[in-house]
Amino acid sequence: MTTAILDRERIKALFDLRSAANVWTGGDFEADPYPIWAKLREDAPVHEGTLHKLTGYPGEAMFQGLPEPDRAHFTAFSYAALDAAYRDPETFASSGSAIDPTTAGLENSMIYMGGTQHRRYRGLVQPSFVPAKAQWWLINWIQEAVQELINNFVNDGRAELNVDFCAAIPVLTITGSFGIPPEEALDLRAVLQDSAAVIQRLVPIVAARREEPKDDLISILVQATMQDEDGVSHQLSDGEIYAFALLLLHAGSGTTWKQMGITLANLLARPEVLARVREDRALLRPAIEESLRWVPTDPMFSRYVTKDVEFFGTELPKGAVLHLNVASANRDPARWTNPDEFDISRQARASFAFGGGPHICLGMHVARAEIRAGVSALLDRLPNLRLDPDAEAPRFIGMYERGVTEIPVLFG
Amino acid sequence: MAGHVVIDRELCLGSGMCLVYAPNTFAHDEQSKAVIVDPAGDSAEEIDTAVDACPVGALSWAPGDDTGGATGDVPSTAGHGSTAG
Repeated sequence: MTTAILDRERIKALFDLRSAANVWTGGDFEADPYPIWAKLREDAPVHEGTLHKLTGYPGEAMFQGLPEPDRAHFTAFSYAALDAAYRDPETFASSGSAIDPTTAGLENSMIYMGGTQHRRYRGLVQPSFVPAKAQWWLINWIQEAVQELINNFVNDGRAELNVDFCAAIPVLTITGSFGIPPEEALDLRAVLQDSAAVIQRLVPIVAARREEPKDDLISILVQATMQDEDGVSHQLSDGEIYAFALLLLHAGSGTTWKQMGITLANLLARPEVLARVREDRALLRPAIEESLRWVPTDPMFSRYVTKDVEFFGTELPKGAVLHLNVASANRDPARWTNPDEFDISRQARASFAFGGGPHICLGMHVARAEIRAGVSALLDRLPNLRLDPDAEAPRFIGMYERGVTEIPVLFG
Repeated sequence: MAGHVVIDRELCLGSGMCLVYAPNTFAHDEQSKAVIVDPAGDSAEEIDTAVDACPVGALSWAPGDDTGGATGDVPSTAGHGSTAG
C-alpha cells in the first residue's frame, strides 16, 4: 500500500469540520457547549427543544432524528435519563417508521431497526466486531495504514496530525475491509451522501466475492446465513449487504478519526500525561476511555417516543423525538466526581460515548484498536512529540460532530 | 453485593462491553455470547463495573454461591461460570 497518493487538500476538504462539506451538522459551531449543557442538566434532566436550539446554535444543524419538523422535540441531559431511555427500546425506538431491509439504503440499515429484526441482523455481523477480532482488523488494514501515513511526514520534523494522520486511518480501514484500494478510498468518501454512487462501486466487489471469497468483510457478509422469522435460513441479499456497507462507511469513516484527534489533543495539551503514556503504554487504554467520556465526537443520538409517557418529570407525547445528549450525560456529577476534569486515573466506568442499549456501537472495539494503534505508533516513531508552540493550539469545535481544529506538532 | 454473576444468553448481544471492563473474567464463545472464563479473573470492583456496563442488562448478580467469601455490599467473585437461559 502507499498512502502518498492521498491528496492532502482533498482530505482537508472532505474531513475538516469547518469545511463546506461538514457545515450541515453544525461544523461551524466554535463555542464551548459544556457550561451551557451543565446548566441545563442542573435545571432539569429533560427539556423541550432540540439540542442545538437549547445550546444556542443560531442555524439549523442536522443529525440522526432531525429535522423532523412535524414532530415535537425534547432533549435529555442526565446520565440516569439516558440510561433509562437506552434500556427501554420499546418506548424509545430507533426509527419513526418500519424498516424494509430488502430495499438497499442507509435508511433501511440496522441502526434504525428494533426488536428481533435488529437482533437478527446485528447477530450476523457482531462476530466480526468483537474484541478478539480487533487483531484481524489491525493486521489486515489498520497497522499498514498507520505506518504508511507516518512515513509521509516522519522526516519533516513537523506535521498536522488531524488531517495528515487521523482523518485517513478509519476510511482506509473500512474501504480496505471492503476490498477497495487506497487510491479509491477518498472517491468513495466523497460520494458518501449519494448512496446510489456508493452502491455502484460495491456491485462488482460483492459479485466477485460471491464467486471467490477472500479474507475480508464483504466475503464474510456474502457467506453469512441468517434465520428469518419463520426459522428459514437464507443468505444476505445484495441489497442487505449494500445497506450494511453504507452504514459502516457512514459510522466508521466519520467518527473514529475525530475521536483519535480528540485523544491526541488531550494528551498533547498535557505533556506530563503524554510522558506517562509514552513510558507506560498500558495507560493508553484509560487515556482513550477518558477522552471518550470527556469529549465524545457524537454528542447526540435520537430516539422516537412510541407512546405517551411521563419521563423524568416531563410529559413526552407519542411521536415525539427524544434527543439524548450523551456528552452531557458523560459529565453528570451524579456519576463522576469532578466530571469536567480530564483525569486518566479515574476509576473506569462505562460512559455513553458509544451509545447504549441494544444499538451500542457495533464498531467500538475496532475504533478503540484504531486509536490505540495510531497514537502508539506516533509515540514509537516521533521522539519528543509536542504541540508546535508557534501555531494555534487545537480547539474543540462542532455541534453534532465534534472534533479538533488542527493538531500542529513538532518532533525530533 | 455478594454472590455470583449470571449471564442471560437470550439477552446477551455480544457487544463485548464486559470484556472491556473485566477482560480476565469474561470472554466470548463461538456465538459471540459472553461466558465466564475465570470467576475471579478481575477485582470485584472491575467485575461490578462490567455488570453495570452491559448495555442490555444481560449480566446480573445472583445471591449466594460466592467462592471468595464475599461479604458486605461488594462482590468478590463472578461465581462458578454460571450461565442461564
